[in-house]
Amino acid sequence: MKICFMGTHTFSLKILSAIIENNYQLSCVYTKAPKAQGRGHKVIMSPVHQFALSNNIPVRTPTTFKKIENQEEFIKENFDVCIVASYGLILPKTVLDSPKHGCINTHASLLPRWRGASPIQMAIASGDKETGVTLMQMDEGLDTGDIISVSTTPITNTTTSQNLYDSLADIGAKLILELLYKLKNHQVLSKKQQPLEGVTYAPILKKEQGLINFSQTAQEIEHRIRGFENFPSSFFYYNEELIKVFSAKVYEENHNYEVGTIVNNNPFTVACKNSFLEPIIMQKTGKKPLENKEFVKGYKFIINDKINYFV
Amino acid sequence: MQDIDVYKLEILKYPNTKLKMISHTVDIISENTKALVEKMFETMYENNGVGLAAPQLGVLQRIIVLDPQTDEINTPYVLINPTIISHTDDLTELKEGCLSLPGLYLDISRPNEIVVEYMDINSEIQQLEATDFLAKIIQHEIDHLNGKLIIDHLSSLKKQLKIREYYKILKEKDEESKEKAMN
Ligand SMILES: [Zn+2]
Repeated sequence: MKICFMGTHTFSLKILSAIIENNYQLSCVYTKAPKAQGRGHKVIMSPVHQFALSNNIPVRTPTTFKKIENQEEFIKENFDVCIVASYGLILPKTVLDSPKHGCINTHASLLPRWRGASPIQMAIASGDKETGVTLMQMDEGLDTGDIISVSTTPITNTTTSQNLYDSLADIGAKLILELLYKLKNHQVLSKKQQPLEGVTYAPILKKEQGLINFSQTAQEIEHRIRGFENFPSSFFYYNEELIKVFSAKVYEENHNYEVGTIVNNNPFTVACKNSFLEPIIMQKTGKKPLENKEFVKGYKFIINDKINYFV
Repeated sequence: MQDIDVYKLEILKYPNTKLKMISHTVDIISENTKALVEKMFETMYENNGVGLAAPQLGVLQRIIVLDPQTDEINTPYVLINPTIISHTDDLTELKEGCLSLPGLYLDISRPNEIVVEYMDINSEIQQLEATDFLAKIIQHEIDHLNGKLIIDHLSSLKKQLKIREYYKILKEKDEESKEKAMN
């Protein structure tokens, strides 16, 4: 069986290494081209790139598949299947249709929920109780292809985007191994169309999505803090200074405060919709993250000040 | 939300820190919001601008006003909580100025066509397809809501150069107005 793998980020690395550990032969790995980073413009290879090289697998790094020669280079290989996991380039129809079993994507959500670039973060940030991995026969749409297999996992009130990322990569690897086993043994894959209802989108996250909106409930804010822990991270402004919050406690309790009011400065606590939010870990720009009680030692929050101020 | 005394508001100029901050989503459009919008238009027209964002007046709310004034006809727009939901891949360049960086004009490349979703002054969700000049102004003003200025589109080296140029222009303008005051 002639297998091609496409992936770039650490999410794909676990899947790639599982394929190799289980003695499947990979003909070729596609990954995003190395980037020059930092002052010395040091060239940084993607984790997938490094791993493939150390396993003596040929690596290709086209910057786009819009170029006909890049499409042809792929098509002439006559792959049996192409496994895709958090790769980062758009694949045209000629590429999608070329392998015998097409291109199969490992998507980190329960499709059609959270199509797009940030499914892991958005599942947590929206307070979903479960998520998972979907293997999908890729078509030209944005994560719209037929579903081949699904595996779910719960989201608890301590799940962060980092540990969910790791466990979903493990689940993805397991599903891919099951798939390759079926293909190797010439079993027929059952495919199901995605339901038309329940479609949501998880776009590329931007910094501004991290600004805390205290007119939400503390629970809603806490979900976002956990989902956005790595990026964009949640933050608010006080005295025109940006303060990040990495974790927080929720107190559900009705009150008469205006939302965004500082109700306590040790520990620092803020009134939200029908609730209070008490940050656990906070960080000032350029400083170390600190626990609330430590943070307030060096930072004077004034009780009754508003922190969702607009002026 | 506390009321704002809109009559006191003035255009903030670089390097005011508020221009670097991210603005809040508007939850409710109050009478005060409407007064603010009114003041934003007034300030924009007074300064011969084609667009203005609330944070440029020091109000950290996601509100922009614009009027491309093509063919000398006034076509005012108010966009509240605007988000670009799609754009074309091809970028075009335009010389952009900014009321918060007076005197500085920079070539900025941005998508030439966008679709923007926003809330209008009556709290209705709307979509607008914008191309060319209108598309550029909208993107410039949305940048303000995210604490981004035209100089932030430049490489760090070029940015330093342009900031120096800006301070020079500012100083010259300052001396001009002092001279005028003396005569
Ligand atoms: Zn501007």
